Amino acid sequence: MTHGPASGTPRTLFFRLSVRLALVGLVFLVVELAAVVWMYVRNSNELDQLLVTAEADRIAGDIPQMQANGAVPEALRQPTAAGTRRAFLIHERGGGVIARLNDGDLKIADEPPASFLVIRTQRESWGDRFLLSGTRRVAVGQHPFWITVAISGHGFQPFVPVIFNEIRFHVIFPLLLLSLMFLLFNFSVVRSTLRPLQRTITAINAIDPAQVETRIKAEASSREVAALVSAVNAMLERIERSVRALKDFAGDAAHELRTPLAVMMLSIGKLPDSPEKAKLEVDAQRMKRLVNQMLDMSHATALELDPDRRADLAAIAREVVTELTPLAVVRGHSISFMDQGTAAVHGHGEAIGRALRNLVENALTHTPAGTPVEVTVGPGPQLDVRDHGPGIPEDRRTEVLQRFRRLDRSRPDGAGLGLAIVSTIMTLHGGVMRIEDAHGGGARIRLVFREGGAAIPT
Amino acid sequence: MRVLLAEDNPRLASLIAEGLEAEGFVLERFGSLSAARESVAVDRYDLFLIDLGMPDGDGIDFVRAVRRAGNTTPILVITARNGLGDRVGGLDSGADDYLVKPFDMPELAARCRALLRRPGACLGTTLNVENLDFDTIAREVRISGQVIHVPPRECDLLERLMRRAGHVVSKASLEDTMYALSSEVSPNALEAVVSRLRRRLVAEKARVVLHTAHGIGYMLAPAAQAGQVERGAPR
Repeated sequence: MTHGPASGTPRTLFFRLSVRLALVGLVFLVVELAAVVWMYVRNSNELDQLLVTAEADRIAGDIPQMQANGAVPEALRQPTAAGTRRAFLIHERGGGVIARLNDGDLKIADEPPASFLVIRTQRESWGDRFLLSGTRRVAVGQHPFWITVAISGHGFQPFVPVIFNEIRFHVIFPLLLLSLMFLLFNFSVVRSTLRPLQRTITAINAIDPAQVETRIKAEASSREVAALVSAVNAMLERIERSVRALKDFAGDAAHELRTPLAVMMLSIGKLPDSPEKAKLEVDAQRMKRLVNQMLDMSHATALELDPDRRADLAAIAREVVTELTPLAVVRGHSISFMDQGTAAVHGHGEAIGRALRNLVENALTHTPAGTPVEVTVGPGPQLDVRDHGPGIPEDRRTEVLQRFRRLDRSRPDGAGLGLAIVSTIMTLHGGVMRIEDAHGGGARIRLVFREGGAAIPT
Repeated sequence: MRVLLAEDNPRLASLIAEGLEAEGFVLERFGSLSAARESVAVDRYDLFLIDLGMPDGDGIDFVRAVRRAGNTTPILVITARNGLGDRVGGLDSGADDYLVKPFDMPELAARCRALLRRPGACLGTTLNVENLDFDTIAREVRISGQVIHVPPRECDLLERLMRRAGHVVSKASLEDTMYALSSEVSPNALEAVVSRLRRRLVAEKARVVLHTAHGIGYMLAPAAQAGQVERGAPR
């Protein structure tokens, strides 16, 4: 597995491919340069022609000026190639001389070239030295002119500018064009190649961490992306397994605790009555509640909601209040139930019952004896538990939703799981739990469910 | 009262057996479902106490088999399972009641007695809460042994409440039993009977309280004692 640069953000694939393509282009450039140079060195005829043509072209550019004042411009007196001497002669149609330049003893015979002559080049060599002469027919403003040039020099150096020119036009320019096309090609290829990858990344990002069973759909377009998708899915599979194992563990542990706890409670029951026995019984009851809450939490997290399942909030609330009234009586509370009219909601009746049960148990635990607890269902898809205790301070309402978090840590009862269970169950139902201050003191906790699948404004 | 107990944890089994024997039950203990099955085939019991998680199978299957064989003996299932939906599953299989571990002896004994009182079972005829007794056959109410006069409507109400003592009985079901034959029941009729009965119980110094669960129904419970250990409601 390769990693990007150790520091900073890794380069884009587009950049990396471009760099590689540029390197290929560079190698190509060097090879082609070598080839061109080698070709011209081997074939000096070609160079001769090119040099003569270059001089003629340069001179042709100044013909209008020379026609006007008859003098050769100062710039034109210098030859194109350094280290050479050069003479030229310009004829017009009919043999008239337009301009002439001699360089010492290098001069051109004043003999007009044949009118049909277009191009002529001739070389004479003596060892290292050479004398080139040639004629080019050029057209300036509809009129033909014949430029005859003689260049004398030695060695290879005079041809370097010509070769350079050749390279510029025949190597560098095409290569630039090619590079530009490479870049465009690279850009579009990278884009179209990465598009399925981008879609896959979007799909991976969209995975809800709470939905461990989610898998990504494979892109059919490329085998590489399909391989990535299946690798990610395999990873999700492993994550799901470990998440489930983790979830199950708390539940399994709590479950396994139940039999020893039953043994313990029955053993305590056999002890002769004493203050110690009473304390042990209270401790055992607390442990029982903790184990039950851990299981509730574990079940709530593992619960999957059947989309067709309906729950009758009024019936659920009535059952919970009925079940909890004996506990309320023992603790010196009264519970009342009021039905303000509600419809069936989409949900898991028993889970909703557990949520409400935890709310009522909380209210019975955290409010002074003698105060009533009011359970109301409706109006609409909501359950409402109101108590007359100290309430929950606004700045701690998020905190109480966390597991094992209690407002009053000096109280020994409760594990601080109650509201976390309620919150988990409500999230599963796409509903919300709202903690409010009741008019006239006390806390009011509302469980608001979705109506007809609509989202609940927060 | 012969009770079959199928429980694989020997310690729990002996504690349950001792506790119930102290309440007057006679227990036969089995550590496996197969042994329990053999015994059911030849012996008669008044109640089955079945732990669902047995080493040689699921107690639910045992319950189903017993019911399929036409055996109507009351069955109380004891289980450590309490998943969402487990309760319904347990009762659907034919069990009459469901007790989740951990529990204490009074709760278990009360559940057993409640099942034995059900119609069809061989049941005791006297209901008792604290110093209050109700003879269901003679329809006689006694407080601390003294027979007191209770009018028929209040008597019906008291019987219903005593059968479910410690639990809330819904208004609707009370109205159904008390006014089954009347075509019209005024909304306050039940409240009136309840308040008369409540005054009578107080006047006769019964150590029970008739609680109102507002919006739900009524509950008869022993009067609260100082230092009483609270027991969680059954779940």
